[in-house]
Amino acid sequence: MDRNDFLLALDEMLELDPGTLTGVETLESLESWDSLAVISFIALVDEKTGVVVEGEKLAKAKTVADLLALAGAPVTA
Amino acid sequence: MPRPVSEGSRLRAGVASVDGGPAAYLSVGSGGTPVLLLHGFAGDRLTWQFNLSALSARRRAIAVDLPGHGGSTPDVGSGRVTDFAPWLVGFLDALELQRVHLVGHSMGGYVARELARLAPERVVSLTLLASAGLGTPFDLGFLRRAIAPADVAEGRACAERLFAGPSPLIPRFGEVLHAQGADPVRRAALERIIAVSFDPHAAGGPPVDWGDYRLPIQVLWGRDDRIIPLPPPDRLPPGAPFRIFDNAGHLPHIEAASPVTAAIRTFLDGCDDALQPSE
Repeated sequence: MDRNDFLLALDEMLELDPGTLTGVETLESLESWDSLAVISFIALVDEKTGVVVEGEKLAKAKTVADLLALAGAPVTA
Repeated sequence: MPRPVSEGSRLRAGVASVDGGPAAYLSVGSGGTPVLLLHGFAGDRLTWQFNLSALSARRRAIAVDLPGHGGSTPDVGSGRVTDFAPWLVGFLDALELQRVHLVGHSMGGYVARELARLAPERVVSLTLLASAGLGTPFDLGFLRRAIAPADVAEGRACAERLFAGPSPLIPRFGEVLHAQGADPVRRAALERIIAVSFDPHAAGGPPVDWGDYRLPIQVLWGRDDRIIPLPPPDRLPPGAPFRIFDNAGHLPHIEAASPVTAAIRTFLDGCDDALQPSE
C-alpha cells in the first residue's frame, strides 16, 4: 500500500472527502480522530500490512505523517 | 455515541438487545474462541483502543460497555456489580457466543470473575487486569472524584493519578472525565455503584475462594498502580501466572499496551492450544 492509497484509506476511515489528507495535518485538528478512530486505524494497518501498531507509539503520534510512519508507508511523496 | 464505523472495516459497532437493557459493543475479527473485554469503573469499551485489534489475530475480539457506562443501558439496577454477570450471559446469548475468554480490568475484573462463577461452561479463561474484588484496599476517594470532577483541572488531576508517569493521553482523559461528570443520569448510576458495591469494601473485602474457579487464570498489574495497589501473594489464585508491568499505573493496557496485549495473546493462545486435542 503506497502513501496515497494509505491517505485515501485514512480519508475514508475518518469520513473525509477523498484527497483531503495530505500528511501535514495535526491529529488535534481532525475532529474525527478519536478513540474509535484509533481502533479503526490499528485494524486498518493490520488488515493492509499485517503490522500491529504499538499503542504506546500511536499515543505519541501528533500528525497524519506520524500515522503513515507507524503504518510503514512512505512519509514523503 | 461514537460515529458509525465505516463499512468494509474489520471493526464493527453494534447494540445487542439484552434483558435488563441494551448492550453497546465493538467487535473486531472473526473465528477462534472469542475474547470478551470488560472495562473498569467509569470507563467504556474504548478503553481497549490499543488492544482490541491486536487481540483479534486468532479470534474475534469484543469490547462491551457495562450497564451505566458508555452506550449501554444506564440502568444499573440495585447497583451491585455482581448483577452485571447475568446481564452478560444475556449478551453472550444475543451474540451467540457459546464460550469466550474473559479479560476484565479493575471493576471489569470483578465482573469477569462473577461471570466465570455464574456460568463456568461459558468461560474458557480469565485474565484479571488490575482487578477489583481480590479483597485488597482501593482508593475510594479517587473513584468519587473521578465521576464528577469540578472542572477540567480536577479531571486532569484524576487522569494523572491513573497513570504511572507523564502521558500524552492525560489531557484528553481529563477532559473526558470532566465532560462525563456533567451527565446527571450517568453520574447517578455510578454513584449508586459506589454506594452499594464499593463503599463496603474500600478497606479490603473478603478473600476470594479460588477453589470455586476451575479454569486457567492469569493476573496482570501495573507496578505503580495507585488506585488498586499490587495485591499480596496470598490474595492471588494459587499457581496462576502473575505479571507486573513496570512504568504502568492503573491502566497497564494503555500505558504498557504492547507487553500487556502480548501477555494476553500468549495466554489465550496457550489456553486454546491446551484445549485443542479434546475439541
